[in-house]
Amino acid sequence: MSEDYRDYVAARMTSLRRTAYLLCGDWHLADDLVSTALLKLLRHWRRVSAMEDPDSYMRRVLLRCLLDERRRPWRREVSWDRLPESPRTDTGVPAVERAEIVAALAKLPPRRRAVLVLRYFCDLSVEQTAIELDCTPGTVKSQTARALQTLRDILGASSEGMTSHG
Amino acid sequence: MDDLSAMLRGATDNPPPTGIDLDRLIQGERRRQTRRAAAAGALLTVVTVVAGVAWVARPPDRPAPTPVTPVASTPAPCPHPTNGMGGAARTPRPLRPLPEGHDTAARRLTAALTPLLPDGAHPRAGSGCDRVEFWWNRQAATYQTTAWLGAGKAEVSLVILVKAAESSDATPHCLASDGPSCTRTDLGGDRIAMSDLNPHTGGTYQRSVTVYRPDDTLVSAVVIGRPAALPTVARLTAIAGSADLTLYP
Repeated sequence: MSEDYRDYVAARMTSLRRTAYLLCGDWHLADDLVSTALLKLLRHWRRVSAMEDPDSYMRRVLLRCLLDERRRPWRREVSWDRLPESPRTDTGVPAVERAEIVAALAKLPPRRRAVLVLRYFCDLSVEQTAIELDCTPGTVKSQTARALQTLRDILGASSEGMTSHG
Repeated sequence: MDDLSAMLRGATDNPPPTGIDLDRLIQGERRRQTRRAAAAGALLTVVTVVAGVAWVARPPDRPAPTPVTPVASTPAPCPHPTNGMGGAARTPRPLRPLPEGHDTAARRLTAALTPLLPDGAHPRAGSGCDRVEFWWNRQAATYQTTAWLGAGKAEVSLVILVKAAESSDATPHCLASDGPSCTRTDLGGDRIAMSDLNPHTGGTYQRSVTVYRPDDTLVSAVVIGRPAALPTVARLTAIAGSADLTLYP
């Protein structure tokens, strides 16, 4: 059991962390969310590993962890118990733009942010997104439209060419 | 920047090293499971000990709860000379195995006997019991009880013996002898009553009626007293022939 679990987590750790980061906008909190989700996955690994799409389960757990985390009162505090991130290599996307998009996402309500992350980062369809967020496809579409409009308003000129493919 | 997907991926490229320690996470979960198992084991131990203490501390001779046909009531048992005590026990060899434990059968027989007893029947004075109660006589391998009827010179003891039929009981016989006083009476329904009357001591007589029944149960009703006070054969036959006094309910 342990080896299967390790292999699964090793293959998806980066993707889970990046998804969590887009959802919460903070790498440290993203690691906390992923740790909590991995613990829940470990406790139910036998059942989850038999599922057709364990990734879907992990995304749902991650979203629930995020929503639970944001309800807690200590979310108002900021912890600096770890060193700031190390310098990064050039990714082809200017650092200013990276910061802008993350900041713009942070201004969206959690569920709209989740809609955008699931659809444009995890590449889920409208229907799959609706299942993971436990809502209707129509809700996903409307939330997507409003979220995109908000992003355009926030990013202003830099989003002139922003398009979606969903 | 012309694609949201590219923007999102670009924003998360080259993430910082993770602080997630998978080994520590797995070990922590194992420790948690161990603690839970230990706590569950401790709880089970406590429950077992408490149950054991309650079992040991229950009133002596009180029968253990068993899934049996309930009797009307289960009063405290009476003291009996050999009930559960020492002495050489005779091993019964019934034609059919008995379906009940001795305590259960004794309680059921006691309940069945009560309405059959003559008015005024009571246990021996000073016996420490307030009722006529069957008990398992290990030495005789028989359920038995004693009641007393009347008072003074008219006092009569009534002993009821109930035993499972054995191969040696194939031929009906009277309890004391097969002499001239032994009488065989066919009661119908494959029931046979064997009755006799014999002198006892001090001017008293013993009358017995043993009913051989098709339910593989032998019931003897034995009275000792002055002849004028002895219940009739018919009265004793009615008791010994009661279908409720069976060992195979």
